[in-house]
Amino acid sequence: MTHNQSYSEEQEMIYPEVNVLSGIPIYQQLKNSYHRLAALGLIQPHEQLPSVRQLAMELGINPNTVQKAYRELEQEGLIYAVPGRGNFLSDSERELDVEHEEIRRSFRSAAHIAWTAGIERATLHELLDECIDEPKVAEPER
Amino acid sequence: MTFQIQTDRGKGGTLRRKSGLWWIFGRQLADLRSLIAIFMFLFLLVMPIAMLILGRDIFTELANRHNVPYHEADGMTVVYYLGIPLRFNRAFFPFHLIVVTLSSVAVLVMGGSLFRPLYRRDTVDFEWSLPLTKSQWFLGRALALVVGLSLVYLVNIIATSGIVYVWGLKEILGGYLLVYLKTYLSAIAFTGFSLVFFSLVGRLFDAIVLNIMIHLASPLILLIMSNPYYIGDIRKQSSLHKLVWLFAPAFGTYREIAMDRNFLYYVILIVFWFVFGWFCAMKRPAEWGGRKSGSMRWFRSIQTFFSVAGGIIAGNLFYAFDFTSFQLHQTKLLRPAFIIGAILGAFLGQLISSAITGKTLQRVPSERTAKRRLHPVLYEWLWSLLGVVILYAVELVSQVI
Amino acid sequence: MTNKETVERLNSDRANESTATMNLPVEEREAVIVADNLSKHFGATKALDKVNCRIAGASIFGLIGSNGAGKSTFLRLAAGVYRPTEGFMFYRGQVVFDNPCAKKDIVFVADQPYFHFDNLKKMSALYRSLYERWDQELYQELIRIFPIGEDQRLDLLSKGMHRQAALILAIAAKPRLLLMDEAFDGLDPVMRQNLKRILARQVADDGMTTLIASQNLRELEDFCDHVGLLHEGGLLFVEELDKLRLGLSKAQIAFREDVTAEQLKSAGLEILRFSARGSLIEILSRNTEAELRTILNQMNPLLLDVLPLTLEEVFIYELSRKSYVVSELLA
Repeated sequence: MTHNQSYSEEQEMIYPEVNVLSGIPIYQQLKNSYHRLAALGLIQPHEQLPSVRQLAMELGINPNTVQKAYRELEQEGLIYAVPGRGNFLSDSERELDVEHEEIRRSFRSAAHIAWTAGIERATLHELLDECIDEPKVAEPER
Repeated sequence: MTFQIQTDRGKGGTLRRKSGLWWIFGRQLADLRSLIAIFMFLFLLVMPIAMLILGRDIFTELANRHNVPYHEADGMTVVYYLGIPLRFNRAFFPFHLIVVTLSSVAVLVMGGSLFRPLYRRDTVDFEWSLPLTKSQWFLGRALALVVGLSLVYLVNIIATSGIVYVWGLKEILGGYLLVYLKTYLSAIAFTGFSLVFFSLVGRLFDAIVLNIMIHLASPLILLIMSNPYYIGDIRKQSSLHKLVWLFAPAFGTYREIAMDRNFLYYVILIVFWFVFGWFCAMKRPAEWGGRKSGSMRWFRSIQTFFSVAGGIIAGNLFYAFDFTSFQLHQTKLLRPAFIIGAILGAFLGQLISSAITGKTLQRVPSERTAKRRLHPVLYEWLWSLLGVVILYAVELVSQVI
Repeated sequence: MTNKETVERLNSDRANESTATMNLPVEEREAVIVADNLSKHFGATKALDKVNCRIAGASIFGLIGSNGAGKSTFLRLAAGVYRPTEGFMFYRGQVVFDNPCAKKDIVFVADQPYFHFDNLKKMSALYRSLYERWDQELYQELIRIFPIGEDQRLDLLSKGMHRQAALILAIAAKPRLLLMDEAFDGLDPVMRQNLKRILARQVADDGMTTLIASQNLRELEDFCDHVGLLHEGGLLFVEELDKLRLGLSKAQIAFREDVTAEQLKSAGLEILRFSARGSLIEILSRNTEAELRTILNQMNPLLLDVLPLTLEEVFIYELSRKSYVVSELLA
């Protein structure tokens, strides 16, 4: 165990973002973040994720929370653990299913609202394009 | 300081027990060093330096005027002390008395300084969360106090002896050294006695005041219980007298000048008070830090003592002013003057002891029942009454013995 | 074996142990603190009454309650300052009180820290001589992170700086159990974040267990994995923080037709609160988010928005269930 590494030392890994004020449980935010990073290709399959220690220290969060997030991600199949080495991103395509399901739900909801309000398909498509082109925030606003 | 750490982790705590005690002792002694220096200086001032100021000639003359063994003839004066001739050269006498007084002050001041952390919440939090036992804390402190006091006594006698020797008066030194040693031992006994107070109370003020109060009460009781002549003359003192003196060990340092005691007596006394003090310290809970002593349970027994003292003093006082009576001593107890005085004195003694440690009769909130409203007043009366009862018992007993 | 070698060996043993511990879920870990029917009375006042509690290793536990609830008393019992009136307070199977063997692993940071010496240099020497796991390099790092000069006079510093100094000394002693009475009180935001980072590192690397007593839910909410609520000497509950949140859900829903609370209840939702304004329904239910979504999606809602709850809201509903008036509880 060394203290040579200062907690603020630069890492070459990508760190997920977490907003402690958002009200969403931190482990959930971490999971969402990793899903997003993976889906966007910002982390490559078999790339090593930050260790529990590194992530907790960097973000100033409870290591048990990080551990929990990693465990669940492992169960979901997004990542796999190598004992003694760390956690790595899986190369399966399965994680995208979760995202698809989320998106499908949002679309279904929007479609129903549009149908009720009498909004036409074309307008709906325009709205979708606008949303895609909007600048992105890390978490949905409350 | 580095310590050897054994590789057996399981015993990591116990190995520290011995070194913990010395750690505390070292720290307490270091904390005490300025007070030790001050008292060392004061002791030196009132004895060796004072002797030097007095000058060799005067001192030698004083010394020669009293020889040991003493002769009543030849116009040489004999100094009587507490009814018996002085056991050492009178030249030392006035210096010794001052030294003895200073010694009691030193015990209270140094002890108070060492034990002060017991009475504050933040220091208690700090000390009691450290990996050290209560026993180590107490013993470390007690030891530091004893060592500090011993150093002061030692330096003083070395300086004094040196001067006396250089002045060519070494033959008078022997008798005095013995008495000095006995005085020192009784000072240690007083230290032990004070440790009990430090361990039992909630505030430093209480510790010192209670200590002083008990010392004032004891001889007053004796003074009144008996012929004043008795209090001075050691030969005529009964066992009961001696028992009361046990509770005023600071006065022991004065009386030791006259006593011819076995060293075992001191050893037993010292051991008794230190053990009792240790016992009280072990019982003491952390939450007493800063609490008013009046609310503690042991305090009740002390209050009885105050009631008895108050009763004896006031009772006898009233009796003394009762000019209608020329009765014999035996019926004093039945005279109305005495009875009134005793009850009044007991009640006042009870009140005073409550007041000085903070728990006075308080106005009970009116939402409590009528029975409760009487409670504090009734309480005080009952305890005073108990004091009166004990007073009578003591008086009867003292007339029998 | 020299002193230094032994300490290093102890440290590496501890590192291996903590890795093993961290790999287990918190509930399955060995308990570091066990309160067994613990009661503490001060005369007639019952500061703690029959508290039963189990705090696992390498966890960050938040003890919450209003003034006088008994938090400080509990901490002092865990630190071995107080002796229990009834029951027991165990540290890893040993009684804490008057037991240096247990205390050498425990450091207590009080709300008003006391410094025997007036600068950090001497205080660090004091701690170094008492705590065998004292790490001088860590101490040097900490005085850089929480900037306090080693020779600065401690009694002239502000309350927040006192706390920083006390934290430096406590953490550098590498305790297995760190007890803090109000961890973040008086610290500025930068120092707060630093503290969280350092604590996170010590928990991960060293398996340190942290117990924080606080009135401030907001601070603890982000950082603790378990919380316990004390009220008037009784421990109302102990729960994993995320489970607490999971167990309650708040949602805004819109359906095409009117839907009543009874319909939702019969669909399987445990509705605690139901309010409808026009076609917009807001519910609070004792279901997980997943359950809520599954059940509601079957009813084809037009709009389903699950809103996160703050810890305060969770407490309010938990406690109103036990019919406590919450304004008394959360200061």
